[in-house]
This record gives sequence, C-alpha cells and structure tokens, in this order.
Amino acid sequence: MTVAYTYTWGPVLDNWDAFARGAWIDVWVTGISFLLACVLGVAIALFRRSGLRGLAWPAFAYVQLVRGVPLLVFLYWVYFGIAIVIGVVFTSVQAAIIALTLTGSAYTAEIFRAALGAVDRGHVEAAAALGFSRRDTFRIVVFPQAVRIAVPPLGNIFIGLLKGSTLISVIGVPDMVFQAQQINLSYFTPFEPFTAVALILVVLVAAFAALLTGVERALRLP
Amino acid sequence: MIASGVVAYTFRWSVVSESIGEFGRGLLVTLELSALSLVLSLALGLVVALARLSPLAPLRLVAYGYVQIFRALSLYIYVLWIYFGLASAVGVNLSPLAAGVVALTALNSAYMAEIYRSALAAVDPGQREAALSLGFGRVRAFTTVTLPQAVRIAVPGLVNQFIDIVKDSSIIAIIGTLDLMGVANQLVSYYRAPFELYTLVAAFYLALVLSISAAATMLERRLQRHLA
Amino acid sequence: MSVTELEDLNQPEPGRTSRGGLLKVGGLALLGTAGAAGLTAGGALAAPQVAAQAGGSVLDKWTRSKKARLGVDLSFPPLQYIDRRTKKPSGYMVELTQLMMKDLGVTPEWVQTPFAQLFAALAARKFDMVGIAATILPSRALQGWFADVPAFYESNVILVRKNSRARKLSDLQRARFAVLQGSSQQASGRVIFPRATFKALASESDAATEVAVGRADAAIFSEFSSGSLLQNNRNLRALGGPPLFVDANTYFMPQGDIKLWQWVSNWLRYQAAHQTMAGLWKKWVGPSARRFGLATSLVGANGEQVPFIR
Repeated sequence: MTVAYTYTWGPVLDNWDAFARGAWIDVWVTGISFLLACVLGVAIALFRRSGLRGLAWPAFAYVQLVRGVPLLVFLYWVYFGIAIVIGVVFTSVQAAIIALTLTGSAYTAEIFRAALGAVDRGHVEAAAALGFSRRDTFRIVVFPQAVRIAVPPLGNIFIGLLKGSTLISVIGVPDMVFQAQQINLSYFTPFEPFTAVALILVVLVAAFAALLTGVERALRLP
Repeated sequence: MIASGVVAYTFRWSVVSESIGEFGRGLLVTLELSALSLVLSLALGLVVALARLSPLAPLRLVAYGYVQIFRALSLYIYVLWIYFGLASAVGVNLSPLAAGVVALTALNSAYMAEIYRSALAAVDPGQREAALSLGFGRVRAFTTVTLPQAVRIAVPGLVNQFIDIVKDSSIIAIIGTLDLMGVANQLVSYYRAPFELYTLVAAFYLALVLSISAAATMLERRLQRHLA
Repeated sequence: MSVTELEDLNQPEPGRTSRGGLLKVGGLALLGTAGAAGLTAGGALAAPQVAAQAGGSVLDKWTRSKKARLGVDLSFPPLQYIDRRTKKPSGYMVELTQLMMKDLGVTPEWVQTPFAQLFAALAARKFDMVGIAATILPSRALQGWFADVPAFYESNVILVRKNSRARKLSDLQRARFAVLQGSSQQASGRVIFPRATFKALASESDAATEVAVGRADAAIFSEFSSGSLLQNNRNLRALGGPPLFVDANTYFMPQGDIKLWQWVSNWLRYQAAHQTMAGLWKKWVGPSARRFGLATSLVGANGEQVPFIR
C-alpha cells in the first residue's frame, strides 16, 4: 500500500515565536499553580496534623477527593462545570491555574505532612526547654527543617505539574500544545509540531532539574 | 472572571441513565488498561531498580538512562509517539489499547524503579549481613531477606503510582480507545451534554481510586500485622 | 509509463531515486526532485519519507483482500456517529463511504481515531484511507491529495444565545466568538470579523457551551453540527440569513496513490451526476436544517454547489 508522509518543518519553524509564547504560558501557569499548591498544601497538612477532628477529617477528605479525579476531568469541571452550576465564569488561564493548583495541593499536602512528621521530636522539646513559644517553635525550628526535607519531592511535583500543563489546551489555553495542534490541523503534519513540543519540554524539565539541584545544595546543612 | 446571570444551560440528567451501559464497557477498558500496565510496570520497575543497583557500570547507565528518558516527558506526548511514531518509523503497529499499555508501563515503571530503589536502600544492611553470616547465598539473602522488606516499604509509593496509572489512562483516549474518557467524549458529541457526562466520568474515576485506596490500606495493615 | 513509475515521480526520495529512473522519466523526475530540493532550501529539513510502494495501490489491495480499513472520527452527528439503537457507525459520510465500498465489493472495517490524529494515523498505516471527509484547505493539500469532487458542501452559520440582541452580522463585529480549534471556521471567521476575538476549543460541544455560559457571544458552526447542537440545547438559536461562508469537503488521501485518487474522484463525479450526494444530504441534514432555518447546499450534478435551503 502507499503511504507517503513528507516531513515538513516549515510550519513549525515559521511559527517558532508562537511555540515560544506557548511554552512561556506553560511555564508561568505551572509556576503560579505550584506556589499556590504549596501554600494550600501547607494549610491542609497543618489541618491534618492539628489533632482536631473537625479540621483533620475535611482535610483528609479533600486530599482523597482531589486525588481521585484525573486532571483532564478537573479542567473541564472548573472551566465549564463551575460556570454552568454557579455562573462564575473563569477565563481559561484562570481555570487552568485553579485546576493545576487543586491537583497539586493534594500532593503537596501529603509531602508537607510527611516532612513535618519527619522533623526530630527532640528539636521541638529542646525549643520548648529553651522557652520558645509554640508558635516560635514551629516558625523557627520545625518549619524550616520541614521545608528542607520537602524540597526534593516538591521538585517532582513541579515537574509533574509542568507535564500536566500539556493538557490545558483542552480548555483553550493557547499554550505550546495548542500551537502544535493548530499546525497539525491546518497542515495535517502531526509529527513535527509534537516533536517540537517534546523537545521544548525536555529542555524545560532539564533546566528545572538543574535549578532544583542548586536549591537542594544551597539548603543543605553546613 | 465574570459572575454572570446569563448562563443558559439546561441540565439533562436523563442522558446519564441512557448511557450507563456504554460507561460500563468503558470502565472495563479502563480497568484492562490500568491492570495490565500495573502488572507490567511492577515487574519492569523492579528489574530497572536492580539494574540501577548493579555492580556493572554499563547496566547501571542503561537503567539510569531509562529512568531519565521516561520521566522526562508527559504521557500525552509518549502516547502519540508510541502509537504513531513507532508505526511510521519502524513499522511496529500496535493497537490503541496495546500502545496505551506500553506508554503507561514505560512511564510508570521508571517512577516505580525509583520507589523500589529507595526502598531497597532503606532496608537495614545489617539484615543482609546477618543473612550472609548465617550461610545464606547472596541471591537467597536478597530474595528472602532484603526484597520482602523493601517491598513492604515500597507499598505506599507503589499504590500512589497505581492511582496515577488509573487517572492517567484517561489520556489514552486521544488515540481512540473507548475507555471511560473515550466513551464520555463520544457521548458528549452525541448528546451535547458535557457537564452531565463529565461529572459521571469523574464519579467513575473517583470510585475507582477510592476503592484502590481502601484496598491498599487493608493490604498495608496486613503487611504490618505480618511484620509484628 | 507504469503506475509504479508515476508514483515514484510523486514521491521524490532523496538518495533513493535511482539514476536509471531519473534518466528514464527525464524532466518530470527532475521537476519532482527540484520540488523536494525547494522544500529543503525554503528552510525546511527534508527527512526520509514514509512511503511503501511495494504493495502498489490501496485500490488493488482492497480488491484483492475484499477488506478495507477506514479511519473515522464518529463524533460528528449527523455526518458520522454511532447510532444509539444499532450501536453501529451511521450518518451521511458513513452511508456514502459504504456505497463506495459496495461498488468495489469490499467490506469496510472502521477504525476509530479522533479527527486531530486522523492524518498521523494514516501516515502510521493504522488504516488504508480516511473514511470521512475533511475540509479542503490549501495548507492541508501540501501534505496529501483531496479527491477532485466534493463529498459535501459545508455551510457555516452563526449560533447565539436565545436572548441575544444580535440580529445581523454587523451586530457581531466586536463579538467574542467560540470556534472549533483548527477548523475553517476559526481561519475564515478571523477574516470576516477582523475586530472580533476568537476562542478556539477542542470540540464543538465545548464551543457551544462557551456561548451558553456567556463567555462567548456567538459561535460559528457548520449547519449540520448546528442542527444537532440546537436540537440538544434549547438556549441557543441561529442568527439566520445566508451562510457566512461555504466550504467544500471531501476524501483526503496520501500523496502518490494516483490509482486510488483517480478512482475515488471518478466515483464521486459519477455519484454527483446521479444526485446521490444531494439525496443523502436531504435525508441526513435536510430535516434539521429545515427545522431550525439553517442555510444548506447540495452537491450539484457537476460537483458544483447548489443552494438547497436559503
């Protein structure tokens, strides 16, 4: 049988600036979502460790619920579902950030919970013996150590969210996958634009991994 | 953000009951995809982890490369490559389901290899030395002493990975599998009732993941009891 | 000149075109190679083509094996979709393709693939031909051959919310439009409404929901999708009037298989003269177009566009 596929890099090369803009959207949407997911994750972890059932149980349920739904479905829900049910209409970038934040927070919460649990009890007792208040003990002694423990797994969450951001074009965010799909559908050339996306993603992940190694080194105890 | 009073969407929950049969078939496909990928990546992940801990440098290098490559990209891209790229480049023509299993296995075995590796490292080396001094061979010391303990340590991580497999399998629908997500997409185009149908599909995934979590908790308890 | 040689002409493979072949077919082959070289010079990297000549034409393969594997995206009612009762592929294009297969004495096997991946799947040989039609776009024609006669004309219309104040096109000059990503609605809409904003979404249902929730003021759809959308969404209405623009759609084939391309084009021309497409269009698209007052066109006896409902 006859199948001819002519590799045509022209459309990809002609649209390199669109790919660059798209990749930048992926990066900053991931960055903001990651920061928000960390804040939310710390809050949830503290709720779960609060010892108060009224706080711990909803926090546990939240993690279970959020972890149970695929990101793809989450994106649809936030973008279309919330608009349909309560009439709050987010832009697609807002919806993407919300969906990525929620998904990420379920994972960051577990990481912070484990990290807080891993801080040596002896340090807390020593701080108390030195007359630190409970708040200061947490702020000065426990939290900085927990963050140090949490950094490597948090780095993985960031990379996970960056990869997850390759799905946000389903709700119309003009990211790099959107640009790739645009070229695919206009020229019927699927391989070239998606190879371009893969290359950009590899570079981004490698750059972030290098950055993370630097951060870990900087945070290492002397 | 606009808070609008202009939302004009009429709910039609009847489409849910009309399509429950199709979703049942979609559920079976999702289960098939996830279960096959789980079994294969559990095995492959262990092999890769052992290769990474091997004394042979080339083997370590290959295993390291494997982990790096398959953790570098998103499933979305890999699925397209494995299904279309392999076929056009080297003539390996997989069915959508097989391509999905290969993609999910490749990615998740890389993650599982890292989970196994840190679990193996977490087993007290004194245990192995004790076994060796008791006259156990190296292989036997590994299979009867180190590995069972490592698996026990790895279980929570592996369970999380399985949950990711189930959820990520929703992406395979882009190559035309009629799994839960594929069925949902097709029915949405027929009934034009996206909210109702995507809510149903979310409920299916949630139920699946919660069942896995519950089963895992029971398994972990069992393992703890066995340990005590 | 044999068919195989002709196919070689259309698939210049740098490094694989034999010297003898070049001499034999002379200037034409040089033209072909020059075309490939032009691509390279124009900033594109010419990589080896995925081409399998050994088996000859897809048409020969079908008549030999009596089986045809056809790629379809069955999420476009009423053109191609799964019938809820029979659970089988159904619709205008499915029926037309079935007629074609019947004329060849071939049994079709449908391979479901989302539209965005149809061409990748064809290049990867997941099936022999795309069994549904695609809009003829010059950009797409760089990568494959469209049959010479349209399988149908797609009349594009505007949908707005029922309570929208828009009555005519000029009311929408600065509107927010929702369209299907990569569609001709997206490309042509921008030209017709240069001052409007366009939001491209992954499916037609999503674009309709975009209008329903108020994020967009209007959406541009084909009349056949509009029928299905209006039937299921009572909060939308058609703007009315003549179609915004009309696109020709037809079968899309890999470059090089002249025998298949010729046969399909001739088959369509024959069916056009016999009003086959016109009759099928009246059956599958006519009722909802009439019900919702949507402009639609038929394929005329010579393949031309014939307005059916204005």
